[in-house]
Amino acid sequence: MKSTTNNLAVFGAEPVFDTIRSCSNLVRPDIETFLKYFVGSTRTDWRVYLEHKLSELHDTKYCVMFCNGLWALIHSIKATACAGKHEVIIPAMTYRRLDDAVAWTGFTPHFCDIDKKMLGVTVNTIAPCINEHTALILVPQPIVNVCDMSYLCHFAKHHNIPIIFDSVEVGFGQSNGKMVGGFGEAEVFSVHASKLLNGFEGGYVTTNNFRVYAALREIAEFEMHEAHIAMTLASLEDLSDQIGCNKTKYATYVKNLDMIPGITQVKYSEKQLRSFKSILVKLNELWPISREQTIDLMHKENMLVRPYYYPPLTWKKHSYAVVKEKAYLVADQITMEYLLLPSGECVSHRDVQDICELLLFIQEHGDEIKKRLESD
Amino acid sequence: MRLKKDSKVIETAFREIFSRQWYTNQGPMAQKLEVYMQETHGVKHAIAIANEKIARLIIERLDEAFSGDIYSTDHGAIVLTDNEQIANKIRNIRSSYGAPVKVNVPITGNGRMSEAQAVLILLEHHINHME
Repeated sequence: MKSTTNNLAVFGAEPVFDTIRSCSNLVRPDIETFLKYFVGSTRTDWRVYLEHKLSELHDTKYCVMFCNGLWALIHSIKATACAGKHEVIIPAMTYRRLDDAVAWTGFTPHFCDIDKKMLGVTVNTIAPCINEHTALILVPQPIVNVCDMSYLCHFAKHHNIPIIFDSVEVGFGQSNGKMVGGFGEAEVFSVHASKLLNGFEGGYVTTNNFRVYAALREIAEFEMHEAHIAMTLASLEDLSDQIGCNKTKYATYVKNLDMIPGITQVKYSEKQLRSFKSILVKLNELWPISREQTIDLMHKENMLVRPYYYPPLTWKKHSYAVVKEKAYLVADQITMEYLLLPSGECVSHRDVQDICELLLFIQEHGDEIKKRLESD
Repeated sequence: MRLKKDSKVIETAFREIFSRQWYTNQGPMAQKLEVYMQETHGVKHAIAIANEKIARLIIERLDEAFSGDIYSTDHGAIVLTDNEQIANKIRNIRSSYGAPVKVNVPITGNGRMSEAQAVLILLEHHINHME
């Protein structure tokens, strides 16, 4: 591995990896299983079958497939938001297109702050944004952590405001012992190749609300492509194996990162079901170089780390109306602190160890690295 | 013309996609499809989109008049235009990630065509996806 800073790719040496290790899941289902669903059968109702399987997975009554997660979300907003009101509360720090998703529907995004520990919304961060114009609360799950969904639903019900969850980053998991998928008026998931289930592209909505289900069922022209249905079914068959593999890699990260000062890993709950898909760390005050310098250095080593939901949506220039609060103390403070590390099918256990070794090297040689980066 | 689902050609194509892990969007097959459509229809720009409905919604969001056409199939749609500015805007609204030229657009979305969709359209036009 690296012995001096001269061995770092950012200073001209060979990278650790020949090919990119990314944060995208890119799980590979079995080709024969895919072909069985796509070409090996005369059955024409695989969509219905897939919706049934996903309803079972999430323990919900209904599931509706869409051509992708964004359009699943857009139609869920339309199906659930209060008529006659125009604001949808979303967090300042989240998936980069969430505000655009709201804008596609004609509603106005109203940004709320996030919680420092949850890294997503809580009742306390949403409450200041509730007003007479609030049509919907849209809660995207943070990465690794899962929101207190029961409490959020109780809060929404108390205010008589519908609530939906963008649970793409949970994929498969529990909140307070109940499967994610059945909370609120609806929950939205994605089966893009980078997500937990690989359908090439696609999305779905789960709900226990018949009215919402009927409204979504009526929507034509956004149906999931048959090849994507087959791919998702194949991916679903491997899900428990995938989660087992994810958990082992996660454990390797935990074991190695716990020994590196300056890095705090965001840990998965040990009491609730989780997919262990993503690896999220915080670079704290003991980390010797900035997050942006860390990203640049690791990219040169073909480790495609990514900042956590950066920049905040409140930093964007919008061409449509949005509502902002006076300040976003937490989002603005933590936006430069968190990093997603490589994970997924293309990252082996050996790769995880190499990534952790590099991070340890950066910690041990931080002053010299910082000096060289800033003088170049 | 819709390719028969039991075609050996489809099976071969997907074995190739799996072996190369071409799962993400706007990959080699979508790019090949766009080049083929540009040449076949005699236009400067062809932009592969997930389906016709999304193509029309994207065009509605352009902040200028659209000049061009939409070629639609069972597996997706391709927007055809000679206008470079419009083409770049459509690509950025379709998905700013992976758009070769970044331009300001009023909104972004997801209109990506998958490699699976692209290869099926190529095969329906009897294009050898690996040449």
